[in-house]
Amino acid sequence: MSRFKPVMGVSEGITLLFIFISAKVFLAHVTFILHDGMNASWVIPIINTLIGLLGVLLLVAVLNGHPGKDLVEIGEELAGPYINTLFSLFYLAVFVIGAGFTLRFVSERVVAGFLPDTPISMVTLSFLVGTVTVAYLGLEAVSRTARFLVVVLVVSTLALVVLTIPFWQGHVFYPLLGAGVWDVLRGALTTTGNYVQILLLGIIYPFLPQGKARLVGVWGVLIAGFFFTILVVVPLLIFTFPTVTEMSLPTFEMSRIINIGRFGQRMEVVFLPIWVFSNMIFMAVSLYAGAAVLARLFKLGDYRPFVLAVTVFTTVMAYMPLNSPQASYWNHDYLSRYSFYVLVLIMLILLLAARLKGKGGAKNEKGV
Amino acid sequence: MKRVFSVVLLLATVMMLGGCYDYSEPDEKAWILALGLDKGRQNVLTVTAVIAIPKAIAGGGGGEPAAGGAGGGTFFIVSMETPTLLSFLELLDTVVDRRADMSQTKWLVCSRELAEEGIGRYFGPVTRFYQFRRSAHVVICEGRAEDFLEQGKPILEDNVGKYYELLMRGWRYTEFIPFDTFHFLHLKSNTIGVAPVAPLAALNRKEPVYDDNTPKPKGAYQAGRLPRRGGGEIEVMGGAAFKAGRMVGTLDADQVGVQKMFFGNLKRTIMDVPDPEHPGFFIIVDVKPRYNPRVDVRIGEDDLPEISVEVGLEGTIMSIQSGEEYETPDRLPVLEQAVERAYLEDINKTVAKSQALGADFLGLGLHAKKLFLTWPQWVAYDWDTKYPDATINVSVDYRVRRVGLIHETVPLK
Repeated sequence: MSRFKPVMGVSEGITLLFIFISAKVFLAHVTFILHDGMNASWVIPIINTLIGLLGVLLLVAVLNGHPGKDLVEIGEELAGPYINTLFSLFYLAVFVIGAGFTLRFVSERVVAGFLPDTPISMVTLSFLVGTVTVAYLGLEAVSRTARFLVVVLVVSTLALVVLTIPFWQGHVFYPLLGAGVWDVLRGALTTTGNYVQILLLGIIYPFLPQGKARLVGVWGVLIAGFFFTILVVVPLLIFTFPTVTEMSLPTFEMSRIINIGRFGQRMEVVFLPIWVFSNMIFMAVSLYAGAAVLARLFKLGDYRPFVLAVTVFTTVMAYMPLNSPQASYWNHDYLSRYSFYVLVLIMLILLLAARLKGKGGAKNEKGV
Repeated sequence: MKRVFSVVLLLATVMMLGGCYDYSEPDEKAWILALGLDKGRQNVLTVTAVIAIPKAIAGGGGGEPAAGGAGGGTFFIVSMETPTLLSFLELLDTVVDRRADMSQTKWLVCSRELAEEGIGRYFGPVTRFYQFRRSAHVVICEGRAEDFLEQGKPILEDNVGKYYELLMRGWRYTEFIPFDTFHFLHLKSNTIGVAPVAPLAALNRKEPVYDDNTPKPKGAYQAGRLPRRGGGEIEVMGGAAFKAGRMVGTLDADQVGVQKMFFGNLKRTIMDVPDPEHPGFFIIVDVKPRYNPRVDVRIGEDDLPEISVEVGLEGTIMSIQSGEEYETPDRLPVLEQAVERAYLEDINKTVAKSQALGADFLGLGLHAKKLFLTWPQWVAYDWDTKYPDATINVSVDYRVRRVGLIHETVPLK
């Protein structure tokens, strides 16, 4: 993958995965969930998490059959170069589309809330410079940056939640079934794409300690699920249904409403690092992973020449939507809805191919 | 090392780029502390801004009392005729040398006349604007908002923003000021099963309100009808009830207290209770909630709500004008029942007002929705239509916990 094989610990893997999955919760994604489940929307991330866990187990089953190889290499071995090219393009699309729309969202957010007179291109540039640098330095730089910042992220997020307790209203949970059992379930099944980022596990698998992929995957998804759930429940508790559905950035509004006496107001700046760090880590991971997929696809040993290429793709993707609502809807339609099922389908095909070819599939965590 | 330095320098340079466009000095801003909305005379709206004069605030007002208009005080007023609330901001930049900014706005004052026509179109959409904060208060004023803001000068404060904030914080110390900020007002406006109440305010009425000195409960007053001399020009007392974004009536101070109690926002209040054994005398008690009202709703056979409310209160005897010995354990129930009767009367009047206005500002619908399994079922029940015909029974349980610093009263000889 590069001149040196990166080394990654379990905690770094978990941190990277859970931030990569859950960073989107600080953007507009939550709004779509709130529309689907109405006042019972908090059930949706729980169902999503369970589905995400199943996806991780499936992915780990594929990976464990081929120790030391990532998902692209495994696909090449099991499905052949032509079919694997399609699979790899899907992986690349997940990373590039995710990074592109995230870049657009987070830039729009900065312009909307903090720097209204700054051109969005300038904001985008400042995000890209940081993330491209980290991605270029490689997986170790990305994962250690994430590990270093995770304390800030977790503490700030929990503080954000705790400081809004005076605004919570318990009646929001009623009527208990919200939009109705089927509508909530449909909402959950059509937003499983929120967990398509488990794909990252397939890219970083060779660099994880042997036999720890399941641990990293399961904990990454569970922690992401925890943050997903509380950041759907808390805006619901504060802003209640249906008002909560009118917000484009519920977590931002959460920080704006905090009021601790005359001097404890306008706290959004204190919580700015949550959005900036989480999304910058997301971007850096996406750029790295996208470059890694391309490097594997082109059978090159070094991912770095592709970082700039992926950055260009990402920037193009960021500016394809004509406006911020279109970016939200496109991201929801193309990534959050059904992409997870495509990933599951690929995993099933790979497992089936492994079974037919008699390779992998039935091995345990240690690949024996 | 050189590369690392280059990267750090690049990052630092990029991060500073925002300053090229959004450079903003606090002393180059015109901080709007309150905005007033009236029906326009030459356009749709007359919008009034109270703008801080920071150097005067920092200098303690320069020894001058805080003053509006062109006076040398800590704020000045600008009123303009505009088609919309936010277009006023740009118009303001043609008059004020500093760039107008709403991010410190504490009050959105709306004249009663405009509120009765409906203010949903003005205040609801403003949540989209990044400078606006949901922690601001919407205040409904008697008369024109421009006069209200111009004459509403603080006495104790140099900073008019602090004055507005502290005045509203009175909800903690008195039952007469509603709790709801814009945030809660907006939520209640959007939700089925509850209606919002905004603080009612007015300028000091100079002429007498009442013709005689017959006893009147203090909670019967409301802003604009508060007999007084002295103090600041602004009084905030009572509330304005809204339905579908339109003001439908006013609540007197006691009714606001009951409304706050139903939402758990009532801290304590002082009640003047008629002495049951000495007509013309009052027992003064301190009252605070023992628990949030227990509301039980069921749907009757006629498909109308049947609601029972259990209110638990406790408090302290503050004064017994008649000198009657109510403090002994065997006599306390007499006093407790008198308080219960008085409070029940307040609650029943408030409930009746709520049903008469068709605005469930007590939030009983929030309890009713527990009876429904799904949101569409709850919407289909059409609470707003059924609520005015609901049967509502309230019971009050008051317990005296303390009797103050006097153990037993010695009657006057």
